[in-house]
Amino acid sequence: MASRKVRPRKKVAAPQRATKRRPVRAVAKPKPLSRAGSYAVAIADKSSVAARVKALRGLGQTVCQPKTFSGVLKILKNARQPEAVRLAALQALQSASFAVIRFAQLRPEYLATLRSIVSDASHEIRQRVLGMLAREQDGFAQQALLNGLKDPGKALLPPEKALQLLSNDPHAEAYQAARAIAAKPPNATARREALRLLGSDASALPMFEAILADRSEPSDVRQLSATILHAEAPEKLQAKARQVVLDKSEDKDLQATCLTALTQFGKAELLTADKELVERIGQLKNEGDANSRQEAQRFLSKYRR
Amino acid sequence: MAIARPNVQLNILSDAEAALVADVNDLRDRAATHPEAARSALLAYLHEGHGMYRDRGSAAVVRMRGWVLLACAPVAWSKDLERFVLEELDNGQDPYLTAVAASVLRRMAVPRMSYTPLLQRALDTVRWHDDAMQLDSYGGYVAQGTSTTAVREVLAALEWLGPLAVGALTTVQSFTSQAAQMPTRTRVQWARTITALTRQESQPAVASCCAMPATAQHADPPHRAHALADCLLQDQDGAVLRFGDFFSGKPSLLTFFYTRCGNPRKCSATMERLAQLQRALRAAGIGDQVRTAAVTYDPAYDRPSLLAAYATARDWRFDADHRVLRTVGEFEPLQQALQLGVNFVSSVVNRHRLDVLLVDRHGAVVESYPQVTWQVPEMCQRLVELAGLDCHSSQFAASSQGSHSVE
Amino acid sequence: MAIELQINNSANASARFVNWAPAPCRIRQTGGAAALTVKLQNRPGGLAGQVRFRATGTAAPASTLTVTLPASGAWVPLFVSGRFGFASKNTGDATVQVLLGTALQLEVPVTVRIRKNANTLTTDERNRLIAAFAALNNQGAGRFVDFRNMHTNIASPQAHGAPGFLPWHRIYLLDLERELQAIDPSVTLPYWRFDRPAPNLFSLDFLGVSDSLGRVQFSAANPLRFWRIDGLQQIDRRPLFNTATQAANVLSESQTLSLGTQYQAFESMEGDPHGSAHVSFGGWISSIGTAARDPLFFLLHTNVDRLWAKWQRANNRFDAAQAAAFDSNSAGGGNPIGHNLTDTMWPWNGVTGGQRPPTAPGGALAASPIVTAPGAQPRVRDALDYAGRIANPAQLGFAYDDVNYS
Repeated sequence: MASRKVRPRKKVAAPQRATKRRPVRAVAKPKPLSRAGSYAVAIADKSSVAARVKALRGLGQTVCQPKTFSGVLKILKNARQPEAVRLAALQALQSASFAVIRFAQLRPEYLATLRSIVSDASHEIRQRVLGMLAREQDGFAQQALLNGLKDPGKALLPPEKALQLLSNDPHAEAYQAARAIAAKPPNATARREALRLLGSDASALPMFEAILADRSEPSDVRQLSATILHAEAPEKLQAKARQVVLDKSEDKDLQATCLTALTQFGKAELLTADKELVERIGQLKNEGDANSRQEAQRFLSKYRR
Repeated sequence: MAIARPNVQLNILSDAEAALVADVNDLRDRAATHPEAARSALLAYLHEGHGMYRDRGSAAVVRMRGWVLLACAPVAWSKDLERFVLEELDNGQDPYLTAVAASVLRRMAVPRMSYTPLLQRALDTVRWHDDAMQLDSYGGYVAQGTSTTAVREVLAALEWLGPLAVGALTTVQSFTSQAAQMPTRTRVQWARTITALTRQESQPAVASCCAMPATAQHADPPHRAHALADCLLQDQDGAVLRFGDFFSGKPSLLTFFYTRCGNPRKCSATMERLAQLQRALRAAGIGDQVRTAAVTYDPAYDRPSLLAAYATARDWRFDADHRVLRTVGEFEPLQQALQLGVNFVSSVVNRHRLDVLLVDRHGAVVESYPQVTWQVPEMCQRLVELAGLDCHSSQFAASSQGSHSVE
Repeated sequence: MAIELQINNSANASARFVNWAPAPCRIRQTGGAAALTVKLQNRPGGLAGQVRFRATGTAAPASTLTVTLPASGAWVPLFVSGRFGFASKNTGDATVQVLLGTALQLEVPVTVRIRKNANTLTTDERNRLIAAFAALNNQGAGRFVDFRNMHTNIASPQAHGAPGFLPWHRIYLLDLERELQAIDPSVTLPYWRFDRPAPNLFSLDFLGVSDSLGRVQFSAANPLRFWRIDGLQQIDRRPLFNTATQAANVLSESQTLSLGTQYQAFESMEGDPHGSAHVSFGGWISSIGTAARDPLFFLLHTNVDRLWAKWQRANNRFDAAQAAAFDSNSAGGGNPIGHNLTDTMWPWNGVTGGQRPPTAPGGALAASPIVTAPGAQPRVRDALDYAGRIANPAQLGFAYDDVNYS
C-alpha cells in the first residue's frame, strides 16, 4: 500500500511584500484556497506574482463561469501584467478548454483573444498561443507563420518553430516554404523541421531516398529520412535497412536505426531465412556499442532459428 | 446587411488571395449591370477544381470560398448556388463557412422546410466548436470582440424559417444547459429562435423532417468514363486492374475518399455508408449483381495496406465486386475526365466535395450525386434499377441500418 | 485420475490472468473413483507474482485453500486473485499448485497482471510496452489510428466537460489495453504519476526526451522513433517543467483525493490535476484535438483513472445505484448524451449523427479472453464497478498496483 502521507504542493516563493489583504493571507495557509478566494487573488494586481500564479492554477473549472472567464482573459490580454501571471492565466484557460461541453459558449471569445495576442511582446506567449491555434488548424495563425517564413522580418517565431507548428495541419500551405528552407536552411534544426513537414507530402519521397543514400548528409537527417521512408514504403525501406546493416562502413547510428526497423517491423519469414543478415547481426552483438548490442540481441532472439 | 469592402486584418493576405478578392469584388460590383456574367463567374469560382485553389492550403480555400459565397448576394438565387450553400450546412465543418452558408441562405433564399434538417445538422456540427468571426471582413477573423459566431448565424437562419423549422426545436432547446454561459448576443438570438419556431401561424407546419435527398445530376456526355478505360487501378490487396474492366459488365457505384481526410462527415462517413450499402445489397441477395468502389484522391500516400485498413475499420467486406482502389500513377486523369470537385496543395488534398457517380454496365457515367450526403436506400434502389433487377426499396431501408444500433 | 483447474473458468491458457479482484475459477477431477481432498497453494519460491485463494467471492483471501473434488467429476468453484503487492513481472511467473497430501498433482502458471507506475517498470516490462505500442500503430498503418480518431475535437463532447469524463476514458483505456494485449498479453497500461518526478519515463529508452524545440528524441533501439500519426513523423511535446527532477504542475494525489466524497465534487479533477497535467506541456498533448497523437497521453489518463479508482475505494463508490457514486444531475434534467448512467457510449455503440459524432471509428469494444464485462457496447454505469465489488461478473479485468480490492 502506498504511503498516504500528504505531500505538499511544490513550493512557491513567499509573497514579495506583506499585505493586509485577506485573500493573500489565505495563500500562506497549507489548505488550498477556495475557488472564489483564488479568483480574488488572481485578479488582484497587488498580490505577489507567485501568489497570483498559484491562485490562477487553483481556479480549476470555475474559469468556465462567465465573470471569472472574462477576468482571466483580461489578465492574459494585458501586456502590462507580469509574464508569469499571464502565462498562468493562459494555462488556466487552456486547461478549462479541455472540458469541451462546459467551455463551448466561451470558445469563440477565447479563440478571438488568442488571435489578438499572436504578436505579443513576450516570446513565450507568442510561442504558446500560436501553438494552441496551430493545433486547432487555425487559418489566421497559419498565415501569420507562413508570412514569417516567407519574410523573416515578419516572423513571430524562429523558422524551425513555425515549421513545427505548421506541421499540425497536413492540409496547410506550408510545403512550398518548407521545400525552400530544406534547400537553403538558416540552421540545421530548421532543415530538420522542414524535412519532417515534407514527410507528409508523398511527392517528397524521392528526396528522402536521395538523402538516405547520401553519406555526406548528417546522420540524424538520414535517420529521419529512413523513418519517413519506412512509414510510406515499408518494403522498400526494409530492403534498404538490410543493406545498411550489412555494410560495415555505414554510419553506426543509422545502422542502429535500421536494425530497429528490421527487428520491430520486419517480416519473420524473410528474416529468419536470411543467413547473411543473421550472421552479420551476430557480429554486431559482440562488437557494436551498447545500443546496437542490445538491439542485435533483440533481433536474434526474435529471428534466429 | 450590406456586405462591405473587405477589411483585411493584420495583413495576412497572400498574393493569390489578394488577386481573388479583387476579382470577386469586381464581379460583385458588376452584378447589377451584367448579372448573368457575374453569376456564372462567381459560381465557377465555387468549383473545387478551379485553378485558383491549386497549391493553396485548406485554410486559404476556406477564406476564398467564403468570400465568393458572400459576394453572391447581389446575384439571383439559383439551384446551383443553393447546392453550394446546402453542401456547407450538410457536410462542412469549418465554423466560418458554416456561418457564411447560413447567412447567405437566410438573406437570399425563400424559406423552405427542407432547409431545417440541414441547419440542424450544421448546428450539431458547430455547437461545441464555435468560433468568433466577422462576415464583412475577408477570412472573417476578429481580433477584438466578436461580431458574430457560427452558432448565432445558424440560429438566425432557423429563426428566419420560423415555424417551418419547428423540427429543430428540440436541438435548439437543448442549449438550455449552456444558457448561463452564453454571451448576451447569443442568448438573445437563441431566445428569439425559440420564439420564432414555436410561433403559431394560420398554416400549421408539418413537424416531421427527414434528411434532404441528394439531387441527381444526369451526366451530359454519357461517354465520359470511356476515356479512362485503360487507366490502371490497384485494389486493397495490391491487384492491378483496368478501369474499363471493373466499370463494365455490371452497373457500379463509384465514389472517392482519402484516408487523411480531416472531415469525418465526408470521407469517413462516405466509407461507412458505402459499407452499409454493401450490406443492404448482400442482404437482398444482389451483392454480386452490382459493383461498388471507392477510389482515393491521394494515391501516392494511400498504399493498398492503408486502403484495406481504413475500409475494414469502417466495416467493409471486400470481394471481386466491392473494392477500394487507387490509381497507379497520377489521380489527375480521373479528376479531369469525371469532373470531380477536388484540389490539392502539393500532393495533399486541400478541399473536396462529395462525389458519387453511377456507372452503367457499358461503362458510361449516367448519374452523379455531388455535394449533399446521399442516402443508402435511395442509392440501392437506383443501382437495382440500373441492373434491371426487381427489388423494392423498403427492403433496403431496413437492412441498411446493419450493425448500427439506434438510441 | 486427473485434476483440471480452469482460471477464469476457461480451458484456454490465454485466460490465465488475474488481478486483485477474485477471478472465478473451477477445479475438478476426472476418472477418479472416490472424492479427493486437495490443497491449492501458491508455489513457494522467489518469483514476482503470487496468488491468493477464496472459496467464495466474498471470503477473505488465503494463501491456501482446501477443496474436496467429488468423484462425479463435477466442477468445484473457487476464486483466485493476485496477492496485493505481488504483481507479476513476467508472463506466468505466479504458479498455482494443487497438492494431494504433500504430493504435487498439478501446476498451473498464472500471471498477476497489474497496471503499474511507469517510472518503476522493469526494463523488460518497458520494452514490451513500447514494442506493443509501436506494433499497434505500425507507423500509422495500424489499428492505433482508431484510438486517435476516437479522441478528436469532433469526438470530444462525448467524453469531456460532463460527468461521463471518467467512465468514458476508463473504457477507452480498457479498449486500448485489450488491443495491446492482443499483441502481447503480458502488457498493461502503466500510469504516469504526474504529481511526482518520473525521470525513467521521460528517458530516451521509454517515452523520449524533448529537445528545446519540443521534438521528442529516442534512442536508436526505441521503436517509438518510428512513431507516425496523422501522416506526421515523430512527436511534438515540450515540457514546461523539468522532467528529470520535477513533477508536473498539478494537484497532488492527496489533494485530489480530498476534493470531496461526492462524485459531483471529485469530478472537478477534470480541471486539476487532469487538465493541468495536459497543459504542463506545449505540443500535441496540450490540446484536446491532438493529445491522442502522443503515447504519453494514455499514461496520463491511466493515472487519472487510477485516481478515480483510489477515490472509489476510499469512499466506497462502486455502486451505480448510489447517488454519490456519480453525478446524475437529476434535478437539472440529466446530463448531455453519453454522460448519463444508462446511456451507451460512443463509438462502441456505433451510433452516429445528431448529437453523436458523424462516424464511429473502431467499432464495438474489443472482447477479453478473461472477463465478459462490459460487453461490446458498454454503458456509462458499466465503468463504475470495475473490480466487480458489487457484482463479481462486472469486473473489467484490470487493477492498479497501489489500489487494493478489499
